[in-house]
Amino acid sequence: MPHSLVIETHELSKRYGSFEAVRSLNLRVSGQRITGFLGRNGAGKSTTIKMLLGMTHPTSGTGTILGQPIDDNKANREARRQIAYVGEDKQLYGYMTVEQLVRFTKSFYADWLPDIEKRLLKQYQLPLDRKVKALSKGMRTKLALLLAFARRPELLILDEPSEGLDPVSMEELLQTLVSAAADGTAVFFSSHQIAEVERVAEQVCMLDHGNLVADLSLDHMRQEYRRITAGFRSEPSPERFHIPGVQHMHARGRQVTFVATQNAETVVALVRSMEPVSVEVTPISLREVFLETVKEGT
Amino acid sequence: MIFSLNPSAGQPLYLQLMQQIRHAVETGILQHGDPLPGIRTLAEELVISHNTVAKAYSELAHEGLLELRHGSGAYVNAKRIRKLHSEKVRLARRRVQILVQSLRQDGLSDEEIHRLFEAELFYADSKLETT
Amino acid sequence: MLWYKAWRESQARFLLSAGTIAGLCVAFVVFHREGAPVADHAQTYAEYIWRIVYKGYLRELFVLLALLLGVGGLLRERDYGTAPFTLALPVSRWHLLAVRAAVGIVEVTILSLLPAVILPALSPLMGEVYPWSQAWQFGLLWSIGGAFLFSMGFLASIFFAGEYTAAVVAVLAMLSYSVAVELPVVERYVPDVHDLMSGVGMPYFRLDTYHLVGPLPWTTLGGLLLLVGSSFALAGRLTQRQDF
Repeated sequence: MPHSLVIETHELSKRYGSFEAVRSLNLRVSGQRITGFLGRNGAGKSTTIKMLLGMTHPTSGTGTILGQPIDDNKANREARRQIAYVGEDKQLYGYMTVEQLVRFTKSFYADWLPDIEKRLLKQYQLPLDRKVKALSKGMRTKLALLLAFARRPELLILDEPSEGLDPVSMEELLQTLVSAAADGTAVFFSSHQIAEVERVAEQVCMLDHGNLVADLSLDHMRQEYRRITAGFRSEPSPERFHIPGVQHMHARGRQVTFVATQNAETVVALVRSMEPVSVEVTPISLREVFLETVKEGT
Repeated sequence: MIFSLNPSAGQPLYLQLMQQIRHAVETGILQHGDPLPGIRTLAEELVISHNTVAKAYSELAHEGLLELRHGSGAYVNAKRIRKLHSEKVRLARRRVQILVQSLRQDGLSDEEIHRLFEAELFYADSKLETT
Repeated sequence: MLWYKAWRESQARFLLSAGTIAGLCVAFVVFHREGAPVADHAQTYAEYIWRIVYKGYLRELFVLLALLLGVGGLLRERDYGTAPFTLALPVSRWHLLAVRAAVGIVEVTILSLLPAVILPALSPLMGEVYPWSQAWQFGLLWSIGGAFLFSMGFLASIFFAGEYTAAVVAVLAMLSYSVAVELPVVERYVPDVHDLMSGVGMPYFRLDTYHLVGPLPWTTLGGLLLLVGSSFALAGRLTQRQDF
């Protein structure tokens, strides 16, 4: 039973001239969990997030965030009180020092946690009196993350949060996401680090060319999806594999490989009935599913 | 207790966790009355969703293997007779060891052996031979 | 803390402008004997001050500085990449705009009143007199003229991204306006802010004594303030519709 939706869009679209950045998007993100948002560069992830936060106006369609309509400025602003956001660019006011920026940001939110602020300042080793413009990219990212994590928001939206982070910091970031989710914060984050998303996310949405091409429960994927590769003595005809549940089929010579997204056993039994010389069934990673899903779009 | 979860192993993480906890109880690594780490603590340590840990604990509590005490966490409940089962597992492990050794001696690679077991586990009632 | 942000973002420009204006005023007073431009007659102190401050160099500088103080805002932030951070804050775009406008108006007012303080205060020390009433009346004219100029720069920064683009456009627009408003055809309908601030050709300024006399043009001033208000309202409306 899904918890209430923290993000919901209905045919949300954004067009720039003739370029459709987001097309009729029907996104549903539940609370109380971590949801990953995957997509190639330019797929429309950032545009979607900006529309949800009221920074960009949709061309058509509607959406709600924390139950508030995104095209109502006042309502969206109220929702933003309980949303923490770390954008793609992670640019912060260069002329302020770390301390000044923290004080500035703190002043807008009632859910600020001074103890977490202190702890993160120390953990991230951010010098209080250094101007933001003098920080390295990695430190700036950490500062941007601190400004989001030193709070207890209802929703945490992160757009490529791992950019500029070394592996240790990446691990810390994931732990913080897990911790935030355990505290009841819904986490919605986009990332190119698919392996990382695979570890912490429960649900994954995939965007390609502005379209939602997948909305997947990872446990379901782990349980049901299988890669099946079969070899035959003579080239098989591809039509024979148009079985329900079979996707992303590739044929090469005497071999065929595809992904069974449901009833793998039945599919395998069917394949075996075609008298293959070899059948291989293996689990499939999120990366593979993603690559297969978006490649099909080209 | 040390857990090792594989997100790409084709098995939901909560099931993997459940298996590893069950295995630990069966082999005696976890004994009756031992506390398990808190849901949040374990989630942060393994860097997985807390819902996964919660689900694993709750399913095991449902099975009777764990006792969830309000306010203090999860404790192992091994009162049910598991010794017989753990004996079976121990014997089975020995048999697998012997089989794997002999397959290796036959010249099969570990990859191939792994795939054979995988295939076999999926179609227990299959009559077809695989090469 | 939006006020703090608006202040920090205009701080350098403001302090530089204030320093320049104050410095020049002091210099003009201290060196009034040496600095007086060669004229075909003996200049009174009032004439000297008027020519150099209220009509001439300082006024032109003030016009430029007031205009440039208006540049900035969300479009500039978009270039820097901080717009998403600012816009994610639980504040409305109107609020952001209003604070920036208010801080700017206060700054322009201070700039416009610097001569009003320095000239009458410093002149006696150099053996001259410049009446406070004159200085403050000019200050009032300048503060409203300055507000108008600021609002023009402010509006330009809504249309044009790129910090320098907005500034250049604002300056070019100002220059075009200054030229156009000299033409009698235009002058009839469009108030000349420059003349308003200097008093040239105005009924409230007497060229023989170089003093402001009589009632100040309250209707024109009121009209300018209305324009300022409308510019901000327009800026707000436009900002509301923009995509970041």
